[in-house]
Amino acid sequence: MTIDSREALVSLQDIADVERRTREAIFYSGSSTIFIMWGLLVACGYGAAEWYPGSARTTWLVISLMGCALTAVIIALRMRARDCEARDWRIIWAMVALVVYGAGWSWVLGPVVPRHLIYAFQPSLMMLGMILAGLWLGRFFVILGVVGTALILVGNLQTEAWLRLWMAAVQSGTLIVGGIWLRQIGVAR
Amino acid sequence: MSGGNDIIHQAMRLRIMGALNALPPRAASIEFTRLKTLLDATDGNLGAHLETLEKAGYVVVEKRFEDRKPQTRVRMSPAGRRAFAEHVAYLREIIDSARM
Repeated sequence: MTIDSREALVSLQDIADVERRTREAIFYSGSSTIFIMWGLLVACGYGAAEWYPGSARTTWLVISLMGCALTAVIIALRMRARDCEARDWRIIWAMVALVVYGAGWSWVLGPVVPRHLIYAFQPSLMMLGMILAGLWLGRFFVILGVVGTALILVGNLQTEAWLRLWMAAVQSGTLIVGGIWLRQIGVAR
Repeated sequence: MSGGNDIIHQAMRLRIMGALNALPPRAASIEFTRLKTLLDATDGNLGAHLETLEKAGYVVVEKRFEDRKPQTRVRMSPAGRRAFAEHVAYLREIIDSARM
């Protein structure tokens, strides 16, 4: 067979492109578990804070720490199983940093700031994370983040009892929907 | 310079081999529908090219049932991995020799 250098270059670019897409798809399916896990944890957090409002600050601290520990375990397991490059996971750690940052500020400001602002702060920070993640993961996450932010703003018009339920649905819902979407576009084993 | 591989060099088959080659060795098979999405291929087109690669011994196509649903999984054989690596090396050699 005869291949000229131009054709060889196009073929190698084709290979590089498909390899990149495959690696991205593997990463997406790995991240989906983490998104869904955080979605469920956040739902549990809202539930626990509803049942035991006096311990809400401790509950969210425990939820955040638990989420970070589980994220680390999932990443470690997947890296061992799939030889993924460590840098692939920086976006996940960026999301975790946002959650911890938000939880920290909520914990500090909780007693002094009006409650409806605290209820809106953490979810809106999560939506910002979604929008930023969308720059790498695709426009679906940008849309999810923008829609989530709009829902949070609408939620602020609710009375306090409904506000908590609303924020729980928006925050955990977007995480779970995002996780399911990643599973759909990823290469699940 | 070693010769190129006619079977692998066809555009869609090159992409199939590239995708399979990028899968980590310990989880190296992929579902047919996922591969189809990844390559922007149609059922018929992908199926025909996989058949060619399977006949050459470069890929292994496994049909099985998972949760009572039929599932087709594809993986690269060791011979396929070797042939792909050799073809990529051949393409690089062409580019390198053109630069000299």
